[in-house]
Amino acid sequence: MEVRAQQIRKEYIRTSRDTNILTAVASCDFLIPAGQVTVIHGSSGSGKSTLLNVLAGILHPTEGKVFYDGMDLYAKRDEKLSGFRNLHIGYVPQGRSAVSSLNVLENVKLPYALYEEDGSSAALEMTERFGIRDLCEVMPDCLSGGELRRMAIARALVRKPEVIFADEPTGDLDDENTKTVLDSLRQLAKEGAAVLIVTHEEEAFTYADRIFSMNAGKLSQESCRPG
Amino acid sequence: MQIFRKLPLLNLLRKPVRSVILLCLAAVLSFTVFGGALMVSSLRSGMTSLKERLGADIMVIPEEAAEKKNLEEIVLQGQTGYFYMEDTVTEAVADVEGTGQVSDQIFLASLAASCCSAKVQLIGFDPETDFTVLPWIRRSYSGELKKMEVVVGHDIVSDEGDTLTFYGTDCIVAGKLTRTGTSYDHCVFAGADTIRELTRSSIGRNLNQFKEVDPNHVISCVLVQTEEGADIDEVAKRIEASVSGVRAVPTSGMIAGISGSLLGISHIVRVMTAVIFLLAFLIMMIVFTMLIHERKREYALLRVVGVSRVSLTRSVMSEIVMVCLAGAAAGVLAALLIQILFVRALQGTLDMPMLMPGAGSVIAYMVLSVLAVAAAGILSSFWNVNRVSREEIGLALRRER
Repeated sequence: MEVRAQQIRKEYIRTSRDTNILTAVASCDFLIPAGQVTVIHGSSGSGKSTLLNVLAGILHPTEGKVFYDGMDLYAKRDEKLSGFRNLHIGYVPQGRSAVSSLNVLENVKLPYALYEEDGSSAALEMTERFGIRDLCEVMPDCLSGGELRRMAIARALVRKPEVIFADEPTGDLDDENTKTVLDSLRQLAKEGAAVLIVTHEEEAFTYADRIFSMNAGKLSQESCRPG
Repeated sequence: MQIFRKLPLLNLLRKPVRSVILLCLAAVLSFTVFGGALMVSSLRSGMTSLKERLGADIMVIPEEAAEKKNLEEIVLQGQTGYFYMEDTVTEAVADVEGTGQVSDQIFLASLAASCCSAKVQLIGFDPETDFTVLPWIRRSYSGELKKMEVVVGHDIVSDEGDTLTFYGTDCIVAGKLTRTGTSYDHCVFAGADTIRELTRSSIGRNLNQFKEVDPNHVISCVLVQTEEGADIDEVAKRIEASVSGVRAVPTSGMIAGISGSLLGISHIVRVMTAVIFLLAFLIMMIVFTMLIHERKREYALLRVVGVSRVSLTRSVMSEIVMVCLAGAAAGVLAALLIQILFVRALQGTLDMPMLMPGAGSVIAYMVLSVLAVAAAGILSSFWNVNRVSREEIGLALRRER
């Protein structure tokens, strides 16, 4: 499944600066092709996370449209859009992300549980892959930042989604786990998923098919892996 | 059951401190509502019970008894005492215009001494004419009271078949009355001939204040039911004018003081209940607002993995309703237990008749209180839950990082 953004622009209303409107993402067209890893990097506040959220269907653009295989994402009603997110989109948010009253295994299989599916074996496989198998019964309060991060990645990938958005996915991870996570994303892209990573980590660039940079809301392509 | 459906319950079970705080809040709310309602209802039931027990429109007593306020002390305050007048008064009162049913009673007080089982108020009624005590006794005791048989009030420590001794004379307990919440719960009732026999024994033992009376020809009071449409105060005045040496006391006047106090206490209880309810509601609102905002990121995460707005709202509201129902149930049970355990102490402190309403009413109050607290929980949180569920997921994740 490919994701195509058409003339999307995102503005925030702010009252504390000289200007009341902050343009987080300037008008742009953008494509996340299926089977490729796309990386966006840029300084803090450059708008890369905003762009990722708009593309992931969790932040309405001020202007423009986002299409998934030609389907207008924001034209869907909330019920349908939520179901679509569950089935087709894997999202790794920035920072700590856990449902605090669920243990690690329950957190990982949550996307399955919403629609009355078990998902235990897939969830166990994911915990194994990201080295948190022994922590299945542990509550999130007792996890380190790196373990929480791997749990969030396992949850995002557990349904083998067709589109994956990862916001600083390797932020709290050591070299070994960074490699595991990036390998997994690369592998999913090889299997046909469209992957978008927003990161500061230069290591991610080596896994990228296309690299973009973002500066003050403006997106520009830096490199493209030869086909 | 799948995890998401279990999530409200898991949130409560796996966050015990948070849950206990919420439970306590809900319990305070329901305790206040139910406790207040039950107290006001008990006071009202006690008042109704007292009115029913008095049964008559007018009580005619010896003039000196009225001056000493003996009657009110016996009837309303549960103190023991007795006074006498000639039994001819009954007929004289019956002849007064405006009087309907008329029946006399004879009083005697036992002593806390070796001659008596206990210090209680003894009330003798005439089974032929009585219209106040018998209808009530009939609810607990269906037989005919024979001579030297008594029926005891609810709080007398004695059961059917026991023997009670008054002034050295044995009486058999034929039945025990249901609770009235009034001073009658401490009284012993018998036919007038039994009380006359006991009065004779007290005089024989030189233990009666009135040594010269002939027990066969005295009574303590005459109870009067006025004719329909008659002015009770007018009839009372007519009785005092026609029969010498008596005071005719309208019972409404006797209980007017209690009635006034009841209204005052009921008002205070209602105001206090409303104030505590409002305060607890506001605290609940603040706590729920804080909790919901503290968990915004979690809600956003649930939305990211595919939970719709409606499902999220339903899940959070289920959790709130569950904790409110559980807390409210605990609150009403605590209030009920305290009321049952301390109703007599409360009755004594307030110096008011108190009677717990029937089981049906209590259950209705309990259910209504629990539902009121659940409604308060929904009202105090719905706006916030709705607002959070409608927030853009991307913004919630960014702000709560």
